[in-house]
Amino acid sequence: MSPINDTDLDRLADYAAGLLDPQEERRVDELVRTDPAWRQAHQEIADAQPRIDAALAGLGPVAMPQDVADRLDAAFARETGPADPGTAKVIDISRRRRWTRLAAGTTAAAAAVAAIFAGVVALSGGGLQNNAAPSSGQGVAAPRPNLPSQNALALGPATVLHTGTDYTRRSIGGTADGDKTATSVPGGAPNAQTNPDLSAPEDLGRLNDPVALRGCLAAIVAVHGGTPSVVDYARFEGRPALVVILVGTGARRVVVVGPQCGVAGPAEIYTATQ
Amino acid sequence: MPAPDRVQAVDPQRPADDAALLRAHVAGDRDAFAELVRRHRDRLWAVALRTLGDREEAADAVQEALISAYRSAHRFRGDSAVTTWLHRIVVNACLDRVRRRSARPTVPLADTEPLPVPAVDSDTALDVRAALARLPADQRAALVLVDVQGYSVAEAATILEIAEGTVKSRCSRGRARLAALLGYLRNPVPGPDVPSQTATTGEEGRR
Repeated sequence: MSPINDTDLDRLADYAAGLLDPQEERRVDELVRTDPAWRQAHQEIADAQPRIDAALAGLGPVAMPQDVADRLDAAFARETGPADPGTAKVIDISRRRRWTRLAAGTTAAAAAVAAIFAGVVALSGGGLQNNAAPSSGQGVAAPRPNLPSQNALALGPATVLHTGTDYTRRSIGGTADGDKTATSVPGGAPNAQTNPDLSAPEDLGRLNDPVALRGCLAAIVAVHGGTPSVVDYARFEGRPALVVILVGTGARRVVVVGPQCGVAGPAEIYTATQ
Repeated sequence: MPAPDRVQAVDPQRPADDAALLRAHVAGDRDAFAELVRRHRDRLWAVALRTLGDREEAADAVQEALISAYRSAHRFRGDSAVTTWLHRIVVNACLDRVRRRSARPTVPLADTEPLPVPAVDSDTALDVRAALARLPADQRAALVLVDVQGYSVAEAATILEIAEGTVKSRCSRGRARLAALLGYLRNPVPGPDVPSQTATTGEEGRR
C-alpha cells in the first residue's frame, strides 16, 4: 500500500480536477484503480468537497474594521498633502485665502487644510479635544471647529495641527509687518521643505500644555486682536515655531511665534497680513 | 447603473464609476482615490485578512498596497478593471509579506515547511481559518479569491497574473490539503522528505 504524501496529494488533486496531462493522468488512473490507499484517498477527496465548500463558505464576509479604515483615510490624507504639487510639503498659507473666500468662513478653510495633517485637535473654549485617531498617531480626524462651548473664551474655536512644516516668508506670503528674524536664521537660506526628522511637538514642548497654549494665544490676541482659527505646531525657517492664523479683524493675519510664546508676550518671530 | 469603468468623466450629479474616479485622482481630485477605496475596501480587506490570517499584518499590507496604488495610479493603463488592479496590488503585498516572513527563521511557515497531514482523529482537525493559514501562500491566495470571495477563475487569474490552469491547480491542491488538515481524509500521511513547496512547482506553467 502506498502512503499518500504531499506530492501524491497534489497529483491526486490535479487528477480529480482533470488538470493532468494525458500521460500523467493514465499513471494516476492506474494507481487509483490498483492501489487501495490511492483509491481511498481519491474517494475521500471527492467526498470532502461539499464539506470544504461549507467550511470556506462559513468564513463569511468581513468588513474592514473602522480603525483600519480610519488609518487608510489618514494615510491618503497624508499622501494628498497641499493642493499645489509643486510645493509638496510646504504649506502655502496664502492659498488658504481662496478657500476662505469660497467657504465664506474660517471653519471651512480650516477643514480644507486640516485634511493634510496627521492629527487634528479641536480647541474649544472648554479645553482641548483631541480628535486624532488612536493608531500610532497616524489618524486624521475631521476638524470640529464649531464645537459647542459652555465656557467660550475670546480665543474661540481653533483647529490645532502638528505638521512640522518648515514655513518660510515666501510660503506664508502676505504683507509682513516686521522681520524679526532677518539676522537670526542660522545657516543662511531658509529651508523651504519639511524636515521629517524634526518633530514640532517636541521642539515646542511647553506649548503642548493646553494652559501654556492658551496663554500663548491670549498673548498673540492681546497684540493683534482677532481670533485664532488655525494653530500649527511647525517650524519657521528652520526653527521651532507655532504658526497661528488670526481672523476677525478684516484681514487674515499669520503670526509666527517661538516656544516661549506666552511667557512674556507672544515671542513673535514674524507676522504678516493676507 | 453604468457598467464599471466606462464613464469618461466624473459627473457630480451621479456616482462616478471606478475608472472615472481613478482618472479624477490622477487629474488631481483630492478625494477621488479615497472614495474609490471606500467602495471596495471590504473585499480588499477580506482578501488580505484571509490570505495573511493576521489582522495587523493584513492592515499593514492593505495600507502599503493602497498607498502604492495611490502613487502609481497614473501608470494604470486600463488593461483590467480597476478593482482587479487594486486586488492585484493587495494580493501581491500580502504574498510579499508572506515571503518576507518566511525569511525569519523563528517563524514557522506553512509555505516553506512540509505540510503536516492530520491523523484520522477529528480532534486534531484544525479550524478552517487555521487550516487555511497552513496552506502554501500561493494556494491560499487562489483559494481565497475563488472559493472564499467568489471570483471566477478567470478573474483570479488576472488578479494573480497567472494562467487559469494554474489557478485551478492551486485551488484543487489547496482544497485537497484543506481536506487533510480539517480531518476529512483518513489515509494520507506526510511525506517527510517532500516539502510542500516542491510539490507546487509543477503547476506553475499550466495554461
